[in-house]
Amino acid sequence: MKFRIDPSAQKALSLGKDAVFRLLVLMMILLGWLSAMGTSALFSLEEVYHQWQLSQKSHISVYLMPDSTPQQIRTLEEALIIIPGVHDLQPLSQSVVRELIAPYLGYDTNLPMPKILDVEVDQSLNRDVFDARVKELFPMAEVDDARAMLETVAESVRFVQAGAFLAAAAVFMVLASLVALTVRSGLRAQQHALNILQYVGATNAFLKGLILRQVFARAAIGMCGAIIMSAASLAVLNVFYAPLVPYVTSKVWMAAIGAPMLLMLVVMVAAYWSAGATLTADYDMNAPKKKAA
Amino acid sequence: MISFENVAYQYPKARTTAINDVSFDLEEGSFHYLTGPSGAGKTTLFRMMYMDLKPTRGRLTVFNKNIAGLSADEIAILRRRMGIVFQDFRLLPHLTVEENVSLPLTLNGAMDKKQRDCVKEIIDWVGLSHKSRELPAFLSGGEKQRVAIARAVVNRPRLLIADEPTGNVDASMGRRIMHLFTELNKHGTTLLIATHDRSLITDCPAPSIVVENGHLSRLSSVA
Repeated sequence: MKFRIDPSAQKALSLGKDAVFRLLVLMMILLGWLSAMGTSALFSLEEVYHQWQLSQKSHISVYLMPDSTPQQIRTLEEALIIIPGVHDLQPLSQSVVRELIAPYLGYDTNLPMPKILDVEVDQSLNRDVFDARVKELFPMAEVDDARAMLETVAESVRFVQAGAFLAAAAVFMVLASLVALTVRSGLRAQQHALNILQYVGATNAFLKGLILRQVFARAAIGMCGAIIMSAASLAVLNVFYAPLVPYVTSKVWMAAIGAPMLLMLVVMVAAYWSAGATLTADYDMNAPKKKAA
Repeated sequence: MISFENVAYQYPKARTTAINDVSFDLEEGSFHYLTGPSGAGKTTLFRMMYMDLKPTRGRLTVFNKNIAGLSADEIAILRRRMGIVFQDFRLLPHLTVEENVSLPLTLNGAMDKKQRDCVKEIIDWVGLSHKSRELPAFLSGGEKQRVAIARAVVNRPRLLIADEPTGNVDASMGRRIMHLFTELNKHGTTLLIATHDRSLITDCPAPSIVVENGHLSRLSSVA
């Protein structure tokens, strides 16, 4: 069985003669770039959140009363360091504490400063055990509890991500609809050629093959354009906005390349569906015939 | 090969039927003319034969298959066994003469050398080898007619239906075309030619199917 389509047959059904169909490349570049940027932003946001979450989880501050003695603090250090998940303990110097608390005290610098113990922990730490041990030795102590804030931020991040996913889905839907319209428009413009091919015995599968080849060729050009534009945009951001660099990971680059490729898949599925629907409608023998454009 | 049994057809939104209660058979290897005044229903019968329309009543079988239940792809496969010459030629304006003629041979993939030679041979036969790379826009009506005929016969069809195939060509070319048709018929191709040209029927006698006001008025052998 031969799979190569003869150039004459390919030339016979030339959808590119339709101006709307020719826009497919441009549409693919713009929407591909948009979706690539959106997906990259999504992955960057995930990375920002992940790194921030790690830093929040790895440090706990224990606030002790100003009159706590060095002996009491040492006892607390000895009690906490043996808790699984605690790596290091470091009392902050009074100057650092003053700097941290100054915004909340205004100009009143004569107030006694609390003692702050900076505790480095990992994820295996059982916070309830830690908090109970602190309260046992220092009933008046306050322990930072970032869990509520982490949850709020996590919810916000997930909300933003869900919004971005919906926007991406909308972009994909829009593109699918536009592709369906362009294929339909291209076929309408080629109604005369389409009818002749049908009269000489072209099957729907053959015609779909001709259509999909042309859609693929244009969409592939658009996809390459979108990938190049997305990669260039990320490179420019990396060069001119240094704080972003740690968050542009390999995942972000993959997203920038993968989104237009996924869009290409959507284009091909939409084109296949649209071509099938148009050809089936055209074969409704007793339906009034459409006029060639 | 083709069998009409009490076939009627009414165009959508039309008040009357275009053809009504038509019954006849075209036997394999036969040669018939289809005649009748303008508006009698010849084109409708023609379109039904190449399965562009299906009966609104009655039964039509083409290559022994009832067309009512055929899918688009089944129709396409049956059409590959037919050659159709349209009165308005239906050539693709952006394809050259050679490309237009080779169209039926391209449906199974890229053409091989034998098929390309066959295309050249048939173009040569209709006297257009010097114009094989021209677009239809640069051809006269008669030349377009010959391209349409070449395209219809290039794949050696089992059934050839032609609507006024000699209407736009001079008498000499008309005779050559009819000679080709009769040769094809001798080799087993079933032939149906719609024509108003009495001289054609006289020069190349064959039975006529006469249609009037959408009815089959008679099935006659003309000598």
